[in-house]
Amino acid sequence: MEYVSPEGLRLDGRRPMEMRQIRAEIGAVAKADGSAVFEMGNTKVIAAVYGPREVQNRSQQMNDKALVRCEYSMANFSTGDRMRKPKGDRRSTEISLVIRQTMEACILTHLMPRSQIDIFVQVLQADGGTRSACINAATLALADAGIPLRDLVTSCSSGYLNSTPLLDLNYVEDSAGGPDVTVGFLPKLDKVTLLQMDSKLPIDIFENVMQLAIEGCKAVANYIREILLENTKQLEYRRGL
Amino acid sequence: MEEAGREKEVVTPGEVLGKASDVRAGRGAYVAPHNNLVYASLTGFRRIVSPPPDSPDQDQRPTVEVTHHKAHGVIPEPGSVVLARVTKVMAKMASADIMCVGPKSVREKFTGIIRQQDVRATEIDKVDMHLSFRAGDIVRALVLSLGDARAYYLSTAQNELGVVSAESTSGATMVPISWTEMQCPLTAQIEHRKVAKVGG
Amino acid sequence: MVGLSLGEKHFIQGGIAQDLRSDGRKRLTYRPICVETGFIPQANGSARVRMGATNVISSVKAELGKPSSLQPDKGKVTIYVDCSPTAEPMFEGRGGDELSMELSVALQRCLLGGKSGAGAGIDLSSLIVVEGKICWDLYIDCLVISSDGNLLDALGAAIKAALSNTGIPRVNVAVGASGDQQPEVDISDEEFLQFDTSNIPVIVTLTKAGRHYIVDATSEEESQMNSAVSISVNRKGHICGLTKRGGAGLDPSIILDMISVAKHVSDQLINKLDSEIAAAEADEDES
Repeated sequence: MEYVSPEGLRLDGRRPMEMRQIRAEIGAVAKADGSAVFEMGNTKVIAAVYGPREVQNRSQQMNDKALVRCEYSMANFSTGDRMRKPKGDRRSTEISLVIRQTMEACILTHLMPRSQIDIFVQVLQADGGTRSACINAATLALADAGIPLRDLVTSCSSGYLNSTPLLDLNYVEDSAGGPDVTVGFLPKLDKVTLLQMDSKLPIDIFENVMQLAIEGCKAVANYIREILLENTKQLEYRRGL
Repeated sequence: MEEAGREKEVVTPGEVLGKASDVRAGRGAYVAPHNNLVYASLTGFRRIVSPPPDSPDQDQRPTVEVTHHKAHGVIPEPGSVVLARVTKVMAKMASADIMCVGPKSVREKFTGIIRQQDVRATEIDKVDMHLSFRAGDIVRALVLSLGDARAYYLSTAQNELGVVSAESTSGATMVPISWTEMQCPLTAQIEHRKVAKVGG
Repeated sequence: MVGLSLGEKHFIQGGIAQDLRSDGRKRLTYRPICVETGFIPQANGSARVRMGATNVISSVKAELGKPSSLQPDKGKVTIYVDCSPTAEPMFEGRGGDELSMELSVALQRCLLGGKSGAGAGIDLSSLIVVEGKICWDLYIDCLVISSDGNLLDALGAAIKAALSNTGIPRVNVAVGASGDQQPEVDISDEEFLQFDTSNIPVIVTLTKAGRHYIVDATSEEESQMNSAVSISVNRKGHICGLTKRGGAGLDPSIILDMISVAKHVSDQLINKLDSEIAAAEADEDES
């Protein structure tokens, strides 16, 4: 099947190096300490952060840093076929773990000992790249909650089909069986925190594909920064400063 | 027009605020050990605070802080005066739920304990816990320390600390008559508490 | 939340007694309702309803299936509610299951009627394609994103909005199928039948606090309630379902009074919802 036409257009009309349209909104859940909705094309994810608060399970309390917990769940209606079990299946558990490790690396946990930070991510619509959308939404929610971060973690995925590196795969391209590289990146510190790939790639092509994903992450980071700045200015304006 | 150096610049986490040799990292900022740069860790307005005049001469660096728009819930710190409701009274200590720190109420309750030796300043080994507190009393206490994993350590060993409000067995709010006694207005019954000195 | 102090409890109850609630509303006034339809493009119909800080999403998916042998002339509808942990940290893992079950069952009771399918708010016989062989199965999935009291009303409104946004594809049955064979069906991608939602009831929850009832309680007010009655009323003023929650007992005359108050309130609610849904659909068409 042709994923990249001879003119260089993908199935949804994008160029190979073009990301899908991103949209983000802060403060969707009023009750949470921080929350955000993040959309990458048709993938829509909502993240809510509760914390820092007292540890619920005393046995897990850590005396020198905060406990970070994460739960990833997909809504019943998020995929094309209705899902039976929204949470607790293997894929959800694995993605919860991945998000937790990524966010834990960038939260300054030593500033909040003996406390707990809960990150809940809910997928409303899945169209490829859910992992990346979740990490981006979690970063926005953490920044909204005022939890000290080393840097904004952003994430983007890229792949290699029809001998072309492609940025930001959607569901159809993802299920094509080609390689799928997901990168989590700290833009200001210029460091990679998450790197996952499936299928196989020769090393020199892998470098190109990873570099492309990193460029995607930088673009997402600029957008997230703008949203945060805009939000802060709005709030200060409403307070009359 | 800006005396304390307040600037209206908004920063996001990860942005460089300066070199560690030039500025000190305050709230909302941190120093990266490998390259000695100060980065922001919160989203908000950046403020530079000049160093206090009494700091040592070599350390006259201004402090840079980032203030977030959301105020976090208060957390009890050692030395702060808190209002707590007594939940359990035992032979050697009383446990209480901390509800307010200073004038602000907390987002979720913290547990504190008042040990027998911290109830008052004099004759600390002759204290009878049941004549000092009852379950349900509201006490004003001072946080001594973060305590152990289970609870903060509180102290009422000052005149202004102790029971502020209590209900008698008949259900009415009692009136304090001395520093060890409170009287019920309905039944005129006197009950023993470690009473706080309120007002002048 | 640390819990309400005695003073706060008196304040809320006193305010309700004087017809002035904490956010300035009267006892029988709803919070501003905001409806967005077509929220989930992949589903046959979807809607998102916001009542104050309560935020719920509802989606309808239609699949072809076989009708049950007891009711060969009716389609099937399944309602499922999921409480997302984003609404409440205690909903993570299995924590939200109890509340989800309670809401699902209450919604089924209010909208689908009894076991025989009689008296259902949704007309199931319009879902049949070939009698006895093929019918539409509607899966209504709701997700609670943010909860600030009055979940049942918001879910009922979301289901109503999602159903009015639902387009069921037209099915062409191949002529000539006979006997026990499964007929060939051709699902058209182009033509859609809009679902008829004029008879779908709305749910009005009346919370009794002290001696008065309030409509659309926030979670603070709900924590004060003695008991609550949720009544589903349709446009004609008929009662389609009733659920009572809370431990306090209610005098039968009070229940009758609550039912009449609910009928009165439901008129305004149905009108308000219909206008919001129409506005939302108009917005969706434009964009």
